[in-house]
Amino acid sequence: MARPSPARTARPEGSLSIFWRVLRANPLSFAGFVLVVIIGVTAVLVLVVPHLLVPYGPLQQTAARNAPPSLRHLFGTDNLGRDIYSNVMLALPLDLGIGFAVAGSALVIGGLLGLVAGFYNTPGTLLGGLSVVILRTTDVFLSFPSLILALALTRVLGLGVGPSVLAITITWWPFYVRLVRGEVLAVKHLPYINAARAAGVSENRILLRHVVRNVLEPVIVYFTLDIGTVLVTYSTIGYIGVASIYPSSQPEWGAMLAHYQATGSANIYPWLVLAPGAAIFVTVLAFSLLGDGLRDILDPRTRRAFARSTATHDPPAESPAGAGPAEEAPVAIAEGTAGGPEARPVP
Amino acid sequence: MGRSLSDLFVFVGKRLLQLIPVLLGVIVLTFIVSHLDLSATTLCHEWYFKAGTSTLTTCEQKYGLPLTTQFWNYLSSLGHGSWGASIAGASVASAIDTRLPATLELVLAALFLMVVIGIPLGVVAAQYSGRLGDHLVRIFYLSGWATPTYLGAVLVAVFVGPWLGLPTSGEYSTILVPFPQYTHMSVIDAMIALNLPYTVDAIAHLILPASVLAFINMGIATRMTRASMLEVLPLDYVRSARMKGLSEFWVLYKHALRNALITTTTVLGLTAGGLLAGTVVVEEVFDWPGIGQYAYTVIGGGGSSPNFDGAIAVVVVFAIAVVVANLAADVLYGLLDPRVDWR
Amino acid sequence: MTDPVLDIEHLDITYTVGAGTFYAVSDVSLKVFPRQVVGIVGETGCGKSTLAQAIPRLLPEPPASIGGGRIVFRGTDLVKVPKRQLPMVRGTGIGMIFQEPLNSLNPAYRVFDQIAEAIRIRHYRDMGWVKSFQGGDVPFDYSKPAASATVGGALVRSIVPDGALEEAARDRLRTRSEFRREVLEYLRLVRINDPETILNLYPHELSGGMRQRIMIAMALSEKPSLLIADEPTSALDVTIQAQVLTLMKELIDEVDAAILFISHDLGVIAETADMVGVMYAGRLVEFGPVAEVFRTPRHPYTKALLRAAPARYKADGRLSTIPGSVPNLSRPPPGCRFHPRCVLARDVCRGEPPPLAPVAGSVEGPEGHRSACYFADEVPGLP
Repeated sequence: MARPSPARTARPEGSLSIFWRVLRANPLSFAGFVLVVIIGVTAVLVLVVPHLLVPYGPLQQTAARNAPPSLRHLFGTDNLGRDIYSNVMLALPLDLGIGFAVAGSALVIGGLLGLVAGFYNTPGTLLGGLSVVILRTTDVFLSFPSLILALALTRVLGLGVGPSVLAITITWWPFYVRLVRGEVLAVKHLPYINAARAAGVSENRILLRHVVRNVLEPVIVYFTLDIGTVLVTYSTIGYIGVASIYPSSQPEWGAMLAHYQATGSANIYPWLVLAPGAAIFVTVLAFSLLGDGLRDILDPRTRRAFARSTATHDPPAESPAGAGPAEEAPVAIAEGTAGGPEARPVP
Repeated sequence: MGRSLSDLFVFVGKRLLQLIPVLLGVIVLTFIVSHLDLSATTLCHEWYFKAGTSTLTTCEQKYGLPLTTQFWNYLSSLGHGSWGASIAGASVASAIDTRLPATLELVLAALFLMVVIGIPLGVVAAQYSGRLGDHLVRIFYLSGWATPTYLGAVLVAVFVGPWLGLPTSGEYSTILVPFPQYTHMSVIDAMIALNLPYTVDAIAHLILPASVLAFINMGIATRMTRASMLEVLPLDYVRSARMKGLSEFWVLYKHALRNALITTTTVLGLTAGGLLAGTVVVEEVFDWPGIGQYAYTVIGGGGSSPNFDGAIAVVVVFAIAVVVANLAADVLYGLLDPRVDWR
Repeated sequence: MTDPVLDIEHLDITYTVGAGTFYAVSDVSLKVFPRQVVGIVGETGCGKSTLAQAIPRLLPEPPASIGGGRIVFRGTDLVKVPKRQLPMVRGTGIGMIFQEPLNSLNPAYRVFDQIAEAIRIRHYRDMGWVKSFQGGDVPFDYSKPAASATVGGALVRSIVPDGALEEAARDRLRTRSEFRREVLEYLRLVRINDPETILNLYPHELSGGMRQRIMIAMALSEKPSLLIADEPTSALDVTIQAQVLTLMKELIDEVDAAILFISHDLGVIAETADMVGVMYAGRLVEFGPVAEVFRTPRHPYTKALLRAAPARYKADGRLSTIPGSVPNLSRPPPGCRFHPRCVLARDVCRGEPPPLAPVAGSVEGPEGHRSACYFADEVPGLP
């Protein structure tokens, strides 16, 4: 009988050091991690000490019109001499903030609902009925490609940053419900949780202490990858023209892209479009690399192989993943939606 | 073992039944979202402001009715197949009729590319797990994932297309084609008409938009294949297959992948949403006459005047497509995994 | 004096993992002769499965690596064979059956397809359509079935009537019904009573004993010269285990292959093997004819192991155990690996590891009884 994978059992000592070692071992995820840190630090710097990194104001017109990238204007200028580099930099905190805000809110709302829907789903009780309602609603929401739903919502909620963020958040929470619920279902009846029940621990306490901790890992992976996805969605909405306005005192990457592409100068002055595009690309790539790498780290197999074991025998073979395929499948799909390039509508 | 043909009908039937409440919910939700702004006047102003006063009064009449009546009208008109009209008078239903297959063609082409390129890449990544091959594959699909659709589409249309000499606009090189379009799928129509030059032309026009869609969404297929293969490869039956004397190629593709594909294909079905959302931008950039392009204009993209009825219709159609794709994925899973009981 | 089918010389296998280097197999040498059943016995983790899987080079080469030594199969050193050519040796050269019948059959394909695939591989190689392994000097002709008078032998021979197959079927694809006939024959060979029904079933619809028989049928259908059985009965419950063992013993008479039988169960080895090797901590500590080794073991570990196996009943007192525990293979003890737990241990045991040398009174050469202990003579005196 396959023993429960370590992801589900209590974490072994020194999991942080294992984390470090695996992170370093995979060059891509390490690169992602470094990039994310750099981007984060840059965003903070731009917010706190803008004069350090941002040479020009966003609307400031300079003499150099449509200038290609140079030492003075790292990403060139547009037809009114506005420095593209400065605009890109100033947009960084906003876009990053939007990503975190939306993903974070969706995580909290969807996560809570998912916990309820997964844990308290005995039929016939009040909470059980609530679970069913949550589940059905989530199914319906998930039937819409999220970009479409978000666009429809922005139409109703209006233009601007605030309404767009709200629109995306409303679109996003169902994913977390499905993810968290899947994880809760997988964990709910594990032997050690049943042992806690047998010892008399109340259901609520079990939920809080044990289930949540197990659920936290894949959720964090998903969240990391989600920041990128939200960013892409938001900038797509900006591109279609309903979110931020550009040029403005608070630039946004998607709006920049839309503006310069619409004015038709992209062919002649590609940096106008490439700079914000590259900014989005690099940011999302960084978070994706990190998230994808995190996902590998949380794979119990990797963790076992790296743990300093006092093994008195051959390195353990992989635990047979062939256990219970039929009931594993829906969980696998739910788990498979853990993060990034999985069943996420790409705007 | 419940896997006979009659069992299959039960299997699919059960799932079709489960569709219905979801579809109902979809329609209700669409209606609610689109009618959130209750005041008829503001609604009409918002959506029809370019139209002129006569349309305005009709609109106010139509939307001034109480919500429940409106909902009933809406349902019945949906049922009758009249999904509304745009300001210019073109019927929404006919637009969907002609455009939906075109998008279907595009999406199928993208799926094809995702399967043919993405899955072997996933196998390669699993084979060389942790080594250079794995890293390269990962960079490839994460790059696709990180590229916003419009950026990718625009870059390909503006730079890659001309560089490769591939067409970047429309389904064919000419606006009018010398054969009737029965299916509204460019390649199929040309093949039915046995018109070789146009078939080649249609395929050439299909390549770039399908590639963009595929590249952006390929990560799903590749990552899932890699993960499944990594789970399957250490299993004993893979070793048994090797010990039969099969070459590594056959061990991977006939034995390991056959089992790894079970989860991969289901996930592919779930990518329908992403692909459809992508078509909105890709079709607009590549001037592909599909539902995505229609959605783009109808929602008000690029400054075009929004069409309320059209928007609702498009949203409903997309949702139905996603639900159907999920159903297909579910059925496919039941077919592929011999351990699933169809009863 | 025939040449061995398998000749392992001073084989070293190490695993390099994040946590360090494990010396899984050290300096193992043994020979398997045609139609011989050689058992390898030892505790969990002693390296016997690693050894078994290393022979057809099944181990994933990172992290495992074959440090030194040769694995000579019918004259060819498999360690030197490039990876691409390894499939040619497997199947028709070396066959293998595994421990977990649950996982050893592909769950996505029916029984018929899986056995037919094995037969097809052999068929293509026989016909020369696909390159197959050419051994070196082949003093023993494996193509001719042994002159066995048993029913089973007749069965095997009936499947390949001498000459008939080559003449009539040369350069022609077999039809599905011909495959079907042969698959059914092999299913009957492993004593499956209703083979027609079994053909269309999936592995998850069968019991463990049945699956193991199908694995055996699959392996035998390729007519390997060497069959490696890696704990084939360990995952089965006792009654099924007995049935499968009986089957294997009968097959040994009927089939021409040499068998390398890995098990941790001394009783199973005693029943089926001709020669036995005892492994401990990656080394072969004793080797010889099974009756001799089990009756008069010449290595303290073997003796302690035999003593630890409970007798049919015990009146009182504790079960005997071996004090201490198996060493960590990333830091094996110097010299003889058993010396920390051995009653006979002396200073010399910590120095050079004792070689596998013939014991007093035994014949020289592969038929003899050898032990890797400096004090092999004192072992019979131990309680």
